[in-house]
Amino acid sequence: MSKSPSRRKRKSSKEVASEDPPIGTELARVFDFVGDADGIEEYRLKSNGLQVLYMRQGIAPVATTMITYRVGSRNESAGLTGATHFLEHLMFKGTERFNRRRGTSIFEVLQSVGAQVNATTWLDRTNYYEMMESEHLSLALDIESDRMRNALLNEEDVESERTVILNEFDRGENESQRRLFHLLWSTAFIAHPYRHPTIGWRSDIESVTAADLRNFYDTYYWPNNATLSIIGGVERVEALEQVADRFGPISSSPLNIPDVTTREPLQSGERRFELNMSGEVGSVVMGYHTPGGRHGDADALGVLSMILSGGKTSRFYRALTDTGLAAYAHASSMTLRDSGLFILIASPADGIDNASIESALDRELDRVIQEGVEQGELSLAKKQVRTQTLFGRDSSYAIAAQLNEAIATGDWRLYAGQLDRVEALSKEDIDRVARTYLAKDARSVGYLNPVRQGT
Amino acid sequence: MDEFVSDLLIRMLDKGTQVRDRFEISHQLDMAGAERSYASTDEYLHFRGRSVAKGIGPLMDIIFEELSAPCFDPTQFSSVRAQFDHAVLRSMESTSSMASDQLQRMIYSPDHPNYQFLGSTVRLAYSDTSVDDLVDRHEHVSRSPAFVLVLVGSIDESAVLSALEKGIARFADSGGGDPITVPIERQSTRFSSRTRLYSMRDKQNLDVAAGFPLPILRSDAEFVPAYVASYILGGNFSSRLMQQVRDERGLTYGIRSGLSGVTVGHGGHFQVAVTLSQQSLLEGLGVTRKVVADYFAEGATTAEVEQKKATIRGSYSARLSTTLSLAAAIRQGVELGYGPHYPDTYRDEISRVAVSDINEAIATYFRDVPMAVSVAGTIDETTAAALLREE
Repeated sequence: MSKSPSRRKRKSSKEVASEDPPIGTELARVFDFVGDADGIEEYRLKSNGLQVLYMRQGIAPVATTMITYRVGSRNESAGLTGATHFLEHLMFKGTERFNRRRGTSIFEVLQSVGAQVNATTWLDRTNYYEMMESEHLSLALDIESDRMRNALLNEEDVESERTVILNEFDRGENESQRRLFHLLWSTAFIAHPYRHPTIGWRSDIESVTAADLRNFYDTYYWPNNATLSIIGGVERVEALEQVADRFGPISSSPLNIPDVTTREPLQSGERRFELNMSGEVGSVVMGYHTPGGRHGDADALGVLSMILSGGKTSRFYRALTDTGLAAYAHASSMTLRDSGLFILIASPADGIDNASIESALDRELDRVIQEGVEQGELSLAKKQVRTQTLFGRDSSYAIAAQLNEAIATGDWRLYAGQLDRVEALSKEDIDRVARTYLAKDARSVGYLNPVRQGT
Repeated sequence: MDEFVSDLLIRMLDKGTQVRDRFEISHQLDMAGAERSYASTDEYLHFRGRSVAKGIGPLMDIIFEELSAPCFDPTQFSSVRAQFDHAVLRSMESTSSMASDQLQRMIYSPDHPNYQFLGSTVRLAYSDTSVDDLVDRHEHVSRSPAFVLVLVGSIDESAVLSALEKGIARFADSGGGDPITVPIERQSTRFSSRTRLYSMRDKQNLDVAAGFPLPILRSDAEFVPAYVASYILGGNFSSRLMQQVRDERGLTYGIRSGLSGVTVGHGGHFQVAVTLSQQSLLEGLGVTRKVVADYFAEGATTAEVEQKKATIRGSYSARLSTTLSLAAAIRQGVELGYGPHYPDTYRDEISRVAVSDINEAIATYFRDVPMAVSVAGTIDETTAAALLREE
């Protein structure tokens, strides 16, 4: 039996503040200070439960605001796939105060002060962000607080945006790799909503109504289902005062935010699929079920993926790419709220077929399962994770983006303790997760077969 | 075909040196907490690296070693060529790449640096390139005295100076060479046809690239007004094209316009790129043409100019908040001849542009210029006939 740690412990010495930051008695009446870790301070608005993360970062007068709603395609049911993404688009149609008809569209107002503005939707979350000169913080907060509960969501906007999204869908369908990944998820998952693509199925995009989307919005877009991150060159008190001013008057949700209770049944038996599509290059993809991102094995799986495919010293590079078998070979562990996938993808070099690539990947997986990893490989992978993590935190936006994924996984503190947790991993941890999760009889394997017909 | 040799050269630089093999170098970079990459344009070979503070010395050592003494191992060369071939094949599956490449074949002559050869030609050129070609090119590049190094961040000056001293000594025996001279070529126009279709199977969504040559150099006074003019039309979500083609009519997921391929050495082109579903192709293209024509006929308004100038200034500041982006901006300023303070002066340069400058640029370079239109994807005969009728 493999040892499988449950939830990871929090480190009190580094991750929790010994004393509250100085926010003054006025703000202390409005916010609860929850704690801090790695320079990030967590507050909660007492009036409605909005979680606020603040970090003073950098020397440039630039800040990023990012609001993360804990709703993604994971929360969608049959017939409503793509609703989260559709709603994300509609949120830019604005409110009574900010809309195109008044000449105050959200993009126009924010971009006219030089803000970089956008939003993304993924399996577990939807996020909206603005990166701008710090002096425009209040404008970003004004817009985000207004559209949290006052989005227009009218039928005319739904219809004009429907064709935009269908075009986005069609664009994705052109891409063989994207279709291959959609097939992987819908093959590996038969019950859990991770099985449908975030953009949704075409027929659902075509049929969803303004009322459906209003209902979705009224279910999930509340302060108690959101986290507001403010990172960059802005003073703590100034930031919190503005948050209190803008978000404080919004009520919390009248009903509990519904949870997703579906769990993916254990897979017993390999599943295989093929995608035949016009093109020039093939691919092999594999997916192995993994625990959710808050599980104690998540970091070890991340390090294992680095040992397999992190740079030229990795096993895949040496065995597949450097030998000329594959154009590339990559491993990644998806860190999600619920059980996710450890994914391998490789594309054969000219003259090599998919089956040969699958065999080569299998040889490497068998080797790591049977022989384990070497101590030197582990040390190097830890260094790589540390370097990439630090490089990935080199701006206010980059930090907010990493926090966003940790929030989506279920706990922003996953961001804070990551480097310490990785440093503490042993060879036995990596060997164990390889043996535990890389089982052939619970994997899904797909081939992209290029149909070469010329142009 | 020099560009193909340069492409392969930069991809061989991280494949081992005469001193260490690729695995040892990669291991040392990882242990130092550093990474680096190489790129080439028709004028420069670029390298960029980043490291944790203590890694700067080893990082610079490796970069100088790779630049001065690559090993050009024939086996590695075959592997690199195969990987490159694979990348070309993948790009041939992309409708946006194929539309854009075809446009550049329509508006440039083959001897212009911005000309894009057919994928089949590119593959042939790579297969014909030899290790000797790379050795010759490397010898030429490494003799060049033109060398700009920008460092940004928490810098250990002694480590940098030591690495720099050692690094420069690696090139000492080359004796220097001729400075890089870039022939100035403002215009190379050859409209072979106004609309051209690139037919691809299984690509129901289509990409359109439309544009025309722009005989302006990056160093010309007209460049910034022309840049702001194209930005107003299609530079961001609140531009005319996004507002009218996407937001109001829902015809596309993405549409943008901008200047492309303009350098201090040669002119480039103005381009509109739009992605369209089958059923929206003709209408989307028609509306796009009208928005572009109306804008070039009317010119920009004062409100638009002021708003977009603020956008460009503000977003430039926001973008420079990382060490890597700041280093790249400083390097660009030096290459353009504006010096290392370019990130500070660029915003002033934008501020100084008046609405009259922009409308003069539109009248001179954009108005009434015929557009070449390139469409890539699965196109049925009826649609193809309709597209060609619209010329």
